[in-house]
Amino acid sequence: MRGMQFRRDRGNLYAVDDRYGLVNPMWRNYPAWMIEQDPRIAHVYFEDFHTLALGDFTVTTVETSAGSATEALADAAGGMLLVTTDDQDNEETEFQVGEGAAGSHVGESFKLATGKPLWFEMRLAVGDATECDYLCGLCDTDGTLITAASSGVFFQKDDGDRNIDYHCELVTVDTTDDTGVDVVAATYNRYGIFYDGAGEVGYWIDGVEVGTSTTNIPTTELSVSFAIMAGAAAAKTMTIDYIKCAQIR
Amino acid sequence: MTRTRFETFEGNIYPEDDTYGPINPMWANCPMFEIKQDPSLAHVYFEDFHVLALADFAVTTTEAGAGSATEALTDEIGGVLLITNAAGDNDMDQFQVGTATTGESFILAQRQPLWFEARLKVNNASEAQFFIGLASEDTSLMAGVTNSVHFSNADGAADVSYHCESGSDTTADTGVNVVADTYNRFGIYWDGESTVEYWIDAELLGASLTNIPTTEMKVSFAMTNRVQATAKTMSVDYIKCVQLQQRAALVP
Repeated sequence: MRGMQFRRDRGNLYAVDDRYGLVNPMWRNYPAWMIEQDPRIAHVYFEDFHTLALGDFTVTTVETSAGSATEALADAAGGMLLVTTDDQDNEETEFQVGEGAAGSHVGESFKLATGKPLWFEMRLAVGDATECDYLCGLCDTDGTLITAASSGVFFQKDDGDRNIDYHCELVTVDTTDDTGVDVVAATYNRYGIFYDGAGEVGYWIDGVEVGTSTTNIPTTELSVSFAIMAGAAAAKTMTIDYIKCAQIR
Repeated sequence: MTRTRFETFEGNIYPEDDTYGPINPMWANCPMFEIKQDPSLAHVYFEDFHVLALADFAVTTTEAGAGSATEALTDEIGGVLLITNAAGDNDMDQFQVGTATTGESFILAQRQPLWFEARLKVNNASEAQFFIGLASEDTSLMAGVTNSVHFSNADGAADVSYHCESGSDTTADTGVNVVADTYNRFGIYWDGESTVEYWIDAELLGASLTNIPTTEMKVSFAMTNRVQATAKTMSVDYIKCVQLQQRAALVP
């Protein structure tokens, strides 16, 4: 056992410890030390869901039947948000970090701007691998994320398949890619996005970079966003472990 | 390329990075590595305004006319709180972290160094009078507070003044003028012994030794319309305040 060591990636000094696992390579050039030392360096959103403040989000639901979606903490190690849709096909729940009622969201605080690298990671699982749509990433204000996101960088799985697709979208013009990773029911994945501040977005799943994109990079402010839509007449669940998004100020 | 490196200031090891630095020298002796390692070393308040929990603050408004002030997030990179006063002259909106009667959690005590920084802007240089810093509990910060270390500009002036008060006020013109719609970083460092330094935009502008407040204080900010009876705005990007806990003796 070697224990903790400092290593470099693209000049950045990061910590690694073989007792606790490898650092996701996406985070190796993240200037964590600098960010801790001086609040000017970066702005950071981190939510671990040990507690739940629904007022931190604009929550939009689509409910075509008498029931209601629920959004609550779950009894699970790690701190978990459990989102459960209502029980009809195409019933949906979406979250955007910020405030305001559905249709009046404010708080878009990230933007893929030149010279402003950004790191995003979110860990989540869905209860059904095939019969749901879901989305996670950064999107502009939208009440119909699953069916008609406008601008954003995000991952999305469609109803009827298990493919995790990546999207980089500028006002509905979409660069998309099947990541080659398939969802497994009740199995967590880590979804990562790294914008280098110079025109390229890398997309990562479970600590592996699965591709990059350089076209249709959104130019508007974005919010941390996630959503799930039932793909059959049964309630579907999404469980979120954590979300972290940091950007150089 | 060697980007990140460790340097030392007053015995503290801190990072520097040619890409993202230099860091504000005010923070160079803040032991962030130890603080991240052990929560007993310091207490930290940090708000980046990606989300807004108004219940975290005692919000006091003065509204002479029919309108009302608003306090809300805005769509701005970095996460920003936007405060908009009502439209009357002298209308005011103030925030103190905590409740109306509790939550004074910082005190300039011996062997407990403190670092404070807030980044904010106002939309009018001389007619949006602001207050930012640490103050004892008070519902009329702009009219005068008993104990504080803070920055403010005078009614009708863009000059930023520093105040250190404990009944009496030690004040200094920082030499910095507010520019409308332009962010400044306001910093305060208490050395845990006798001196309060005041910083703007990472520049040390002076220090005070007298009228050091001796009571507990809250992170506080406020803004008042001056001269013109039109609504003024204040945008707060972030606030961070760190203070070391007092220890009876050094732990080996």
